[in-house]
Amino acid sequence: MGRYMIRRLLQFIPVFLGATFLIFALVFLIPGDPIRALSGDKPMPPSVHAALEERYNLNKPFWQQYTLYVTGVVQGDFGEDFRGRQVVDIMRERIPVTFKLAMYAFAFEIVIGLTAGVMAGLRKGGFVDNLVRVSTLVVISIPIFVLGFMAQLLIGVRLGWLPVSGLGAGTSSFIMPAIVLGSLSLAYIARLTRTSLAENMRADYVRTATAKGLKRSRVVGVHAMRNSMIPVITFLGVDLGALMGGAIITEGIFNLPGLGNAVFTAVTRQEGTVVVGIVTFLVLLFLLSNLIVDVLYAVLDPRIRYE
Amino acid sequence: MSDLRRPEQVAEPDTEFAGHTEVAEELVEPPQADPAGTTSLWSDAWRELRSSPLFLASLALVVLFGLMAAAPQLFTSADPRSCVLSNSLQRPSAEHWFGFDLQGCDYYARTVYGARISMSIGVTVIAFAAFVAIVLGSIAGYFGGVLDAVIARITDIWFAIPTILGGIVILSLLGNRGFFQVSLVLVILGWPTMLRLYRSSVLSVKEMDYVEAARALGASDFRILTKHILPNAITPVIIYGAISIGVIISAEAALSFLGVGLQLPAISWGLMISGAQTRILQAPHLLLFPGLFLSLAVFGFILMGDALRDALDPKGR
Amino acid sequence: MKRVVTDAGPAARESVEGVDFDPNAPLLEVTDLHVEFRTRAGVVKANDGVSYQLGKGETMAIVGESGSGKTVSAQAVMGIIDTPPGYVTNGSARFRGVDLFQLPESERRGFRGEKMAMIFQDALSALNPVFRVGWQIAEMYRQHRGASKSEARQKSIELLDRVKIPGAKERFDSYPHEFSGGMRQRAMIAMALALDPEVLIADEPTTALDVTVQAQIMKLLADLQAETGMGMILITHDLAVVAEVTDRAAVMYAGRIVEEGTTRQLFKGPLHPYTLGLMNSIATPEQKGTSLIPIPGSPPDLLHLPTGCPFHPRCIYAQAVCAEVRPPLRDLGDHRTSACHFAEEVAEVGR
Repeated sequence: MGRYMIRRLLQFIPVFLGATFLIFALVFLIPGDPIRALSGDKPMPPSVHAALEERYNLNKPFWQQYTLYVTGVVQGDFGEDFRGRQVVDIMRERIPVTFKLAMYAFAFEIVIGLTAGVMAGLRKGGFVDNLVRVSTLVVISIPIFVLGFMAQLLIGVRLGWLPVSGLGAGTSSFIMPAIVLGSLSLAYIARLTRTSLAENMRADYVRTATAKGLKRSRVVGVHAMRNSMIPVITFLGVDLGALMGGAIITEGIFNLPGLGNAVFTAVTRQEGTVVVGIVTFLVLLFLLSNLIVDVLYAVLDPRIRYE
Repeated sequence: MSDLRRPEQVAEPDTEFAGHTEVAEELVEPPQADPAGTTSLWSDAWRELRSSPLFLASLALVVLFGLMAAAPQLFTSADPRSCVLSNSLQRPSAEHWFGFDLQGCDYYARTVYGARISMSIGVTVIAFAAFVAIVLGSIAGYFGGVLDAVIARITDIWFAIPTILGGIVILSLLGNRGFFQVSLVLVILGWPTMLRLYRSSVLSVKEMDYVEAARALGASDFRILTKHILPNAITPVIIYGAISIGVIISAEAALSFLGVGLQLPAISWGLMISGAQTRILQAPHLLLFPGLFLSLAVFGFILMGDALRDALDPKGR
Repeated sequence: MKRVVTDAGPAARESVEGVDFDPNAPLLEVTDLHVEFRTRAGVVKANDGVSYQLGKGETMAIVGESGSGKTVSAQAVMGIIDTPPGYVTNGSARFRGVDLFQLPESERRGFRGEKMAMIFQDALSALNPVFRVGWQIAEMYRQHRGASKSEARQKSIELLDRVKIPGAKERFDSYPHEFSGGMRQRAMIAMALALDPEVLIADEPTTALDVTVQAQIMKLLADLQAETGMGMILITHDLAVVAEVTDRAAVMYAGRIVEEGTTRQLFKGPLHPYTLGLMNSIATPEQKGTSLIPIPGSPPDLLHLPTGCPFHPRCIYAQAVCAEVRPPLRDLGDHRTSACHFAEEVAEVGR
């Protein structure tokens, strides 16, 4: 177990460096002068330009810029935007909104997705199974922004059940966006659970559990489920990171001031440091949740530990 | 050991005697005679697909949107670019089923013409991504070693960057965004999953006896990879590819919707929905129709992938 | 979490809740068992009228090729057939007079583990890979008897000791994949014996093992059987094992029993050409120098059974009638049965 953990941690480092490098390279190597862009059409005195360049390390060679940046990130410094505001402060302000949204979505997709998946998986080929199969495909097919607007139009405007947009109504402001954000993953969870459970229900050890005279609830709930959850947990880990990143569209539609919204504004304003900062943070989050999944994975499946 | 008779001529009392769990399917399906198993796999699958209502529905949708993309004139005689401002935002009517947009263009015509870009981006991106995945997956899976490790780490890095986020970052930096740029970015972001799929598929096929046999007979690596491994290892990529076309269509629409994808005057469902978002109260039809077409097109491909998987992967049943 | 189970304790073991046993009935009596598998390709009659009896302390073999329905009949008795596609469509399985098929699932569950247990062919897949071996054995005591954790652990370790797993205490906390094949099968046996069942069904318990280990496991099973006096059904295709440990044997072919008798009778003079073929296709030291005679052809496709006697296409004694009339299982006296039109003639050849 110890060795397994260490190996996973060691694999994490190059992936983190590679991913941040990729983002950094994409944003800063593509031609364009971010400082010139900042001042718009007004001419900028060369001395000011040089001072700004110095301040943001833009006059240094690219690899040095990157090294300085990563060193900063490791110490919790994500740089500052061109108005002198710390990117960390921007994130600190935005993270609670996105985190809350992602958590609601996560809870929603797990509860509904697992229930639907288990019901379908236990009676494969039955009515519930076919219903789950087709309805999840429909949900997967509707792009999130179409779903978002439809929900807004129907539930928010026509029926007036939930706030249409913004944060004004406290927790209830999050319900509709969370359902929209979680719906896609919900469908995946339901399908994954269904397939995985149905496969495990046919496994020899489930038959053994029945032959041992265990109650059906125990055969399914303990013996089949523990094994079926392994791929689902893997997906959930990947999804937790993806939800934070995927919030960009949902936050836009429902006008929630979260991280996704901040990235999008920064992209349109060409604020490279903010974009890189937040995207780096999201990638870090994604990798960390993957790491947690790896640990969980080893806890759930003892065979993995000895790989 | 000069016994060159074929095994079935030697009647063995113990043939199939070493017990398997007696599951009914095993009793019914005779062992496959075809060493590669591909021909019978596909012909079995085809027989099953022909009678699957879900597959036929998906096929109908894919053909419908394919036709719409190839020959929109078949569906509408109106020109999507000839617009009369006085018609602006008119609701759907008997003559103009989908109404008019802000500029007073016939919305049905625009929605029909929107199929072209979605379908072509979906197919192009997946074709190129699959090509990259198959080439790199073959190298990684077949040769293994350092190359495999390097490719695996690169895919790990790629996986860490969410598609939409990565797409926004890259595309926002490109001033001029058309079919080529959007497709390229989606290919760049889309290949890793397919690569992983194909690599693991190659790994399992590589161990098969007929591959060993081909190698023993002196076939070159290239020949083994293309003639023996590819036809047997490609199934998961085909299934995933069908689903991915839907996903890519959806991703293109999302990027265009966010304003970092295609740019006007291109006719794209994502752009149409983007234009509709500020007016969903006065003109909900502007959102509804492209949204419906977009969802149906995506549904067609995803459903097709699902039906293909059912037919081609007996384990998943 | 202590569970209170109503049928806990040795006193309650004699009766499963609300069920009255017939003291004069045989331990297990299977009559006219029909099991169908409804598949896409059609209906397979995996068991087509199977009947047999098992007495206390008796060891009976069910012999046959894979696909002959021997495992299915055992699974039907245990009530662990996958439904769908498998269904018991007719017949009865009486445990000391009580027809298991007539019991509601809640009552029937009480028989599994308590009264009858099963061990499987491949212990690696039959044991749950994600739980510790000891835990899986202790589960029997915890769930059936409401034993406390430490009590269950203690009993499980004793049991592991009894099936001769060295270092039982330490091995309690191992996972199935950390065991060798033989050890896994021992653990599987321990699990089956946990509650002192009266019937033990062993489904090819040694097929997946090395030859040396096979002998050890068979000896262990035979010893435990002698020790506990339980009835044992041994499903196998290994005639050497049959000869060694069983009292009686039933030979199955295409979902039916084609011959039954004491093991000694069967080996001395088979009454069915299929049994004769099986005997002739095994190597024995006495036969050294003579060649083995294999059964020609291959096992039948259960979806398209040959007309008449299902064995006739492979039978060297087949006559015209064999392709037309399916021979019934005939009583040939001396507690022997055979489903062959020419059983008497076969007896002559076998001698």
